[in-house]
Amino acid sequence: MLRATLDQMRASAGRLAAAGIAILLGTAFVAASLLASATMEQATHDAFTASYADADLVVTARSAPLTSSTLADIRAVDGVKGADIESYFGLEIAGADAAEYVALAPTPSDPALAVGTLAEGVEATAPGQLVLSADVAERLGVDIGDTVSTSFDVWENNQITDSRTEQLRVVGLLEATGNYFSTGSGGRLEAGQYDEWRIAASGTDDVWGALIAFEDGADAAAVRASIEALPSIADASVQTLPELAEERTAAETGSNVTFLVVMLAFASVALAVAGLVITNTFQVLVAQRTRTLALLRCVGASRAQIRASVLGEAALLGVIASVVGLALGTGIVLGGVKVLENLFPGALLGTTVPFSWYVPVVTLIVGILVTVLAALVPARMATQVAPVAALRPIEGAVDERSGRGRLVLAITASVLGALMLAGGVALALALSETDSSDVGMLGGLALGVLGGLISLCGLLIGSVFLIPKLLPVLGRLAGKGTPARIATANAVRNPRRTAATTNALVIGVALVVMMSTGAYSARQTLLTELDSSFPVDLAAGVSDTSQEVTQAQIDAVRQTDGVAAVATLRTSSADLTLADGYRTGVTVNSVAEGDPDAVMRSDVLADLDDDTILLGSLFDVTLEDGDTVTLTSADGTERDLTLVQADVGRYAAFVTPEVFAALAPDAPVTTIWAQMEDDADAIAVSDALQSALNELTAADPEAPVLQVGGSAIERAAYGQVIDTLLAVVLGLLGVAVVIALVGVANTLSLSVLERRRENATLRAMGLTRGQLRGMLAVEGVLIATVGAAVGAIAGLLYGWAGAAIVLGGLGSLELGVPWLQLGAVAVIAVTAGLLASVLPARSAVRQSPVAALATD
Amino acid sequence: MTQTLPTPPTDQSARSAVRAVGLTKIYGRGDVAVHALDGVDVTFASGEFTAIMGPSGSGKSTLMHLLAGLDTATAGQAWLGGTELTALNDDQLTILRRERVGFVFQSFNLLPMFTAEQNMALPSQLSGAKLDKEWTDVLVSTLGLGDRLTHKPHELSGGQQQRVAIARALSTKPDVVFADEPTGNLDSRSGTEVLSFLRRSVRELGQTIVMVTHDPAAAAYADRVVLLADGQIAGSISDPTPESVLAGLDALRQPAATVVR
Repeated sequence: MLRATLDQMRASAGRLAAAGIAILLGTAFVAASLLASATMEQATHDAFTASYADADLVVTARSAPLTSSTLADIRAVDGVKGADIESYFGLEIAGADAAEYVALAPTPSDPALAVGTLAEGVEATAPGQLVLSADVAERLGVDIGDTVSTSFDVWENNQITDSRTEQLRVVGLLEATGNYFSTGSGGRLEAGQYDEWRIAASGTDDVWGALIAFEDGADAAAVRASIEALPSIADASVQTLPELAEERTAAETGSNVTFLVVMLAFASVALAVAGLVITNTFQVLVAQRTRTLALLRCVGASRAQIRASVLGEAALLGVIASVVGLALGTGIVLGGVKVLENLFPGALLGTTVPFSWYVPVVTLIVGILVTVLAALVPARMATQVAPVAALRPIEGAVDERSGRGRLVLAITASVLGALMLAGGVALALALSETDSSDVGMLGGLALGVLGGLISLCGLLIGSVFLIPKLLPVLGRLAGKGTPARIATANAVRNPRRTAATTNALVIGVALVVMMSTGAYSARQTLLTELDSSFPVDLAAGVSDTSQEVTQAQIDAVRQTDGVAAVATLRTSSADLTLADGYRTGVTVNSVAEGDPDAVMRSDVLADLDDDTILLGSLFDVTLEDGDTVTLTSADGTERDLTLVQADVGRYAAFVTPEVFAALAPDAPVTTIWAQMEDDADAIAVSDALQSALNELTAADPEAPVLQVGGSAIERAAYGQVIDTLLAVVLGLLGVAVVIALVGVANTLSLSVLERRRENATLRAMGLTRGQLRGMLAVEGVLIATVGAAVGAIAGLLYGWAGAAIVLGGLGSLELGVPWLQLGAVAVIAVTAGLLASVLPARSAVRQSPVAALATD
Repeated sequence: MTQTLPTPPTDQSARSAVRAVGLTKIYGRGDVAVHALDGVDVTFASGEFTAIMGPSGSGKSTLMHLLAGLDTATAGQAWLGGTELTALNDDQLTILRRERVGFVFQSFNLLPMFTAEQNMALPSQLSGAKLDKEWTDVLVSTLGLGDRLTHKPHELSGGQQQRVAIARALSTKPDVVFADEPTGNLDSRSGTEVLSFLRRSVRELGQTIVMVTHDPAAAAYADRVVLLADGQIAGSISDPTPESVLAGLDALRQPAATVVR
């Protein structure tokens, strides 16, 4: 039986390979996630360990600092070779080339307590000597023998009492660790000088930790017991290095676990899609082997043996694919670490990838399990082949009708899920204006996610009914030609297989589009929020409102590349008297030159006329729209105006130029507002603006210094954060889409094999090679597009629902359609469908039409 | 038992539908080369029902593939009317098959997802030509398919499927229809029916049919039987009967073949 299984596998190697790629990608994902997480954890662990050198014990004070006598007590214990305070503090050190903030530690009293290895020169053993980490020294531009200067403030009783500047001579260099976490490895001072400076710079002698080294051959347990018995450290914890590292790493690992969970969630999406592809492939393999299986049954193979044969085949495929996947995942992580090392030398990532036993074990088990589980249904199909089937000619197996129960289940799940999703949205929106908006959001999210999952299941179960209905509709778009008609008919011939193929795509595409839609809506919503609170892209203003911006400055802003429109403001201080007599000073603004509508992204100034005043918030005063307020200018001119509350800033008011001219005719122009062109790069424009203004200030000492602000950079930053997150998520989900597309190619090549004779008949009847290629291309594109279209619609709805739940509380919810991503999905689907048909078409075209005449 | 010499392939082009001149097909090279066809000269007249017979391996299938433009010859020429098939490339051959040749296969080869009617319409759709409605009606009534048009192949018996296949082959009024063992997968009654239809389509509808068969009874429906042995024409029988065909085949097996050439 094993021989038969292996022979069959060899015969179907090509198809199995295509299915194997699906599992391979999934397992590579799992392996990479596990390894990346372990690498991060190792890096954290290494960093902590490095901070404690080779100490045998670490004392950590808990509620009170260690006293000055503690170190002496510890050193006096039998078996202790040395003990140092665990301490570091930072100083700014200036060298020939640069100045840098360096974390310094005292020179260790024992080599075992040295954090970092001396690479060159000697230790700092006298005051005025300094040992620097080689990389720090290089950046400062100093070497052994050079002198550096440092200055620090002296603190006493929470006050700076003095400032000291000191000179130090570099006497040694430490090996560069490039380790972000390891403390005190930037350099060392002689212990006495270190203590003196530390106490001066921190204003306290408190020490919170100590490192202890034992004598060689000392009884570690006994020494530890005597140390723990010391009364001066009764309050502190005494731990070995591994104990401490484990504790610290665990604390830091929370974020690693989150990372791992998120990564594995994406990996399981990829694996679920891979499972669908495997099920599909095996079903077709079994269908193709009906005759062989029947023959095996004829010659005495039992059902159990047949089942074992199919499952064995799956297991073997799972093993091979998982091993390659493991290798690929490992390669990705190793390569990734290398790339990050080159990009960010000395960054926080660990340089060693730890290969724990569980990485290969988990990867292999997951890979094999998914493959075997996916093969269960095909295996059952195989056992149902009757021995007599060997004696019958096979005429294209007729796909059995899918049951009514399945339809009911699909509709129930879809409707129920959709209702729950709608309920989640309703709950979140209903509570968004109340105090319990968080509850509404979380509750809505939970309900929505559950509803989304249930409805997606309904969609996937029901796709066997839905897809065959949709395909002819799409097929009509493909053209009226006979090849297109045959392609459409072929695509719906095997509803189960087509549905399973498209399901894999639906999952991937739905998630991609959901994330894109959510991100797009989040972006729109946040930007709209930003528009109303910071309506101006760029604002350059004087800091002292008695100064006036120069015409040259206004021109410079207007001429900056990327600036679309400019307006200027006059500002004056005035007193405001509310209807109830409350009087306060406010800053009154008015447009001096330019069109405010052209530079503002909100229509806040639209309500302004000669009888109104726009007023921003006042501290602790409630304003009522429509109240009459009185504005009194510096020269005593009064004016009654109707109050309109607006988002113009605290203690700021806006009036029309006419009103302003009456109150403060000589007020200076203080602010330049500018709006950027829509496609301009915010950072580049504001940099250009700033440097243009700097040049003017340098040339004209009389000109005021302008402060540049505005929402442009913030808008760009928001957008960038969302885009980056989206890119990462899409990259991760992309793996699932790639697997699904491999599935399309696989299904198509299996169909070509099944339809050998049919295609040959068509060729004999006059279908040209080009038409045959076109026919398969249309079929591939149809399957890919229908899956992508269903996925995209589902994803769009899920994305909107999600955005409504999460962002509903922000008020101005803007649901958008991410056309760019949808377009990309469409292009990818069509291209992938075409590509998927290339190889199958090549083998189909090579087939001679004579095959139509073959009897079997 | 009348055995006549085939007329030499000269001034026949006017009446001949299909013609082979020195047609040779060699599979493989060197020592393993197999001469499937060895300089075959034969003519199939227009408006005639001809059967090609011969023992297994005699080259009858190869001959049909070459004459139908399904395969390329090693040497010699094959003509369809005035067109030399052996000078055409694959696309030209495909178009020629589409417009001028019909096929009937042993396993019917209907497309399972299309109805009988749609299957019949396929060849003209492939060439983008309009289906000749009148002609189709004639075919449908002659073949007795009137109440089966909306059925899919799996809803039809073998005999019915083969009748649909014949209608499909004849639907474009091709210059010639090649039938490869058309009764091979049918019970004897359906087989007889199919053969009668083939003969009727020649006699009543004026079609030209070349049929490959190994069944003497089937061959007896033809106007003429061409015998093939070892890749060469071994004789020809006009107005065959099952007995005369059997005798002709028996003669082929004689060591010193007395078949007249």
